[in-house]
Amino acid sequence: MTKKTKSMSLNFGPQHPAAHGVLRLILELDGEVVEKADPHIGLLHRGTEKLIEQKTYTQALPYFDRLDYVAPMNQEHAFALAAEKLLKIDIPIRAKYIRVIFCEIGRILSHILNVTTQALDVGALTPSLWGFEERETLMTFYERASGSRLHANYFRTGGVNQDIPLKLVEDIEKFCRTFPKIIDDLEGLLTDNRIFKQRNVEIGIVSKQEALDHSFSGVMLRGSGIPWDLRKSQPYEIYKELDFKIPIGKKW
Amino acid sequence: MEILKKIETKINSELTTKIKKSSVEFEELMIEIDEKDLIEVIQFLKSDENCKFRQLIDIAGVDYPEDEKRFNLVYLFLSHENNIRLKLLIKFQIEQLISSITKIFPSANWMEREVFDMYGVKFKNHPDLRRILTDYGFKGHPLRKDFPLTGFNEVRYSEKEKKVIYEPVKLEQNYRNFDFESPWEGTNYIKEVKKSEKYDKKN
Repeated sequence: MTKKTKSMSLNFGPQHPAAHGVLRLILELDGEVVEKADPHIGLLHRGTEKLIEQKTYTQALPYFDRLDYVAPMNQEHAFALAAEKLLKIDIPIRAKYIRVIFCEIGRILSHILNVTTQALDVGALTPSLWGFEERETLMTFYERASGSRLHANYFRTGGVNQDIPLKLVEDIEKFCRTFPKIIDDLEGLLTDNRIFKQRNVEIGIVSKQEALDHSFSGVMLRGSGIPWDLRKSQPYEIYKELDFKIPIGKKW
Repeated sequence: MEILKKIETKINSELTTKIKKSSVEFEELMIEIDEKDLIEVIQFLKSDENCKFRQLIDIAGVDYPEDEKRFNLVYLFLSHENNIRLKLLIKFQIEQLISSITKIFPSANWMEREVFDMYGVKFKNHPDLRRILTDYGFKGHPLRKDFPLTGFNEVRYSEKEKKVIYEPVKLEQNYRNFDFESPWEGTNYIKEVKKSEKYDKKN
């Protein structure tokens, strides 16, 4: 006996804990399988471009913190670099190092949040608790440099707002020594975890061609096996002089 | 930046008549073309063995209200193989239909929707040209220069009607512009106060 099924359309969001923000989806479901999704985005649109039309470069900078509050200084950096390119400004070497240090801190902040909340979404609570403790330490570094945990407003076109205290440099180094242990712990919790693998392995595979067609960049491109990182291919600031490795997805 | 020059001459020699202007500024290659050649040029840039611009990074709109050809679209391309970027510029009038490049670059779908939403530029053969970022029932195109910064409507929850309602914008405080030419001269109202003081003394 065959049962006739009917697809169901369902509204998801705009407020939903699994959306990690505000996102509305109009879903067409066949049982548990999503057949079609029509995303309604822009619920958090702040009109940044329009606001910046009325501002000077320095006044525009704080808006960039708000674009990605998970790694605020990286966004500031992009804007500062663009403005410096237009104005043909060369910035002091110390500012370059400070910027790179805080950009990397921003990347760690962002990656911790990404990995641990992904684990949270598939049912693991502990990683996010461990990860957030480290994020808190990193945000203290943000605070000690700029006075603010999230909306730093620290970079400037032409350098940074002010020098960082010497003690802060020592503490960042101390963190660099202790943090790898935390990554190992997190890996111990997740990488070989049966439930984590059941719910993630071979889910959401993006082929090389799809990655290019849909304008992926950064981590998403590398995940699809395309070796591309601006820090290597179009190095800015002092990345040319630094020695670092970048992981690239191998399987697909 | 030799490769940029090389690609520039290459594109110029292949597409001779279609290129209106090309330049290398700030170590970036910029090409201006006519909007009717758009599909052909982009197809060439993507498929040509020397160019290999396989990725569309963004489509940006620009509005110059005083120009006859008021709107510009800037297509940003990236070639991973050559490690270079290219800006493709088209200028057109307000009512001009622009060909959609969704067939060549699927990611152009949402980018063109954004340009349509923000500037009101219409695209030919776009599969689904709806507003993308603004509110349901929104009127106007916010990034046009003649659109006011504060917009037209504001929303609030009405306790009386038990729902969110739209009202014309009513600001408690006027927009203040803090762009002083000199930090020593102070704010405008101080200047005004000083002026009126002088005026008082004269009397």
